[in-house]
Amino acid sequence: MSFVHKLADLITGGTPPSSGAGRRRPRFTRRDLIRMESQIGGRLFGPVPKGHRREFFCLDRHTWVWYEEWFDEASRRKVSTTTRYEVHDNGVLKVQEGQPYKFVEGQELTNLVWAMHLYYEEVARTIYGYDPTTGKPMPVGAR
Amino acid sequence: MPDTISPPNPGVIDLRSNDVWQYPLGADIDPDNPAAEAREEYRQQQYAEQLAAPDPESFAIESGQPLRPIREGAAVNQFETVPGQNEAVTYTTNQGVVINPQHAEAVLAEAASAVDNAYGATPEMLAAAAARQSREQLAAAVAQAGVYAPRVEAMRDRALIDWGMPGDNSLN
Repeated sequence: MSFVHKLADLITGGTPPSSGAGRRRPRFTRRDLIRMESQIGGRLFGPVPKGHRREFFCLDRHTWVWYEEWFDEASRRKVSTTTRYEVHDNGVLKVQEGQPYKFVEGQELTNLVWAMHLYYEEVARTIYGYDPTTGKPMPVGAR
Repeated sequence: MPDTISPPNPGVIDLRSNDVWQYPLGADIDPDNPAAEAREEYRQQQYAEQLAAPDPESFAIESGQPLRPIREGAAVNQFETVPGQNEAVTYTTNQGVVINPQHAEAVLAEAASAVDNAYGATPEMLAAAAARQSREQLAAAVAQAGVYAPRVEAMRDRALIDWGMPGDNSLN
């Protein structure tokens, strides 16, 4: 199974039609790619607690998103929180619902930048097949 | 007149000499001789001035004034209490000058200030340097944070060309 097919399988839960003569190549949307990336991003911060769903992904050239969802036993309902990190020239702005905007600093900023770095390395290698150091395509066997 | 006159050698005290520069303290004073009395007065004055003159190798220590080396270029590089002498403090400059002023506590504080001044780092300057370093670290982290998303976007764009849906703008 080719790498692209594995990705498609990951997204759709099934094997897409194979490419080749008479067969359709799998097609991905930007949202598909982000969904794949977010699965990698969600694992960058250690084990996800049981019953939690975590996603961390790069939304666009300036925005990163942390999404966490879990079932709250007390209220017997699903709750979630979304944190948006906006990279500006003068700082990284943290935006959370119901919270005042604030610039990330100190250890939180260090951790965030480190997570971005790992994210880039992992998605470059695993999804897109690029060597994150050189930016060049990796040999298929090395992915 | 004395029997002999000594050569003008200030290193030698000749009790028989009338020369003021060789006059020993309190010696050979003739209270009936105005000249001798004048010489004694002059000698005492010279002695008092000599005592009052600051040691050019020492620090200027005045109440409320920061310690600083008198000699141009001298910098405090050491200060320490002397064991067993709670109020005595030894100061050493980079030119090897040592003095023992009293009132250790106040002088120590001044000496610490003198050390800062000598090395060009007052508490305000140190605080400013720390803030500047913090700002530089922050700027570096922010710059680093701005690197990754464009790279990821570039890989996505490339992937959409290769594998993407034609005209996909699902998030745009």
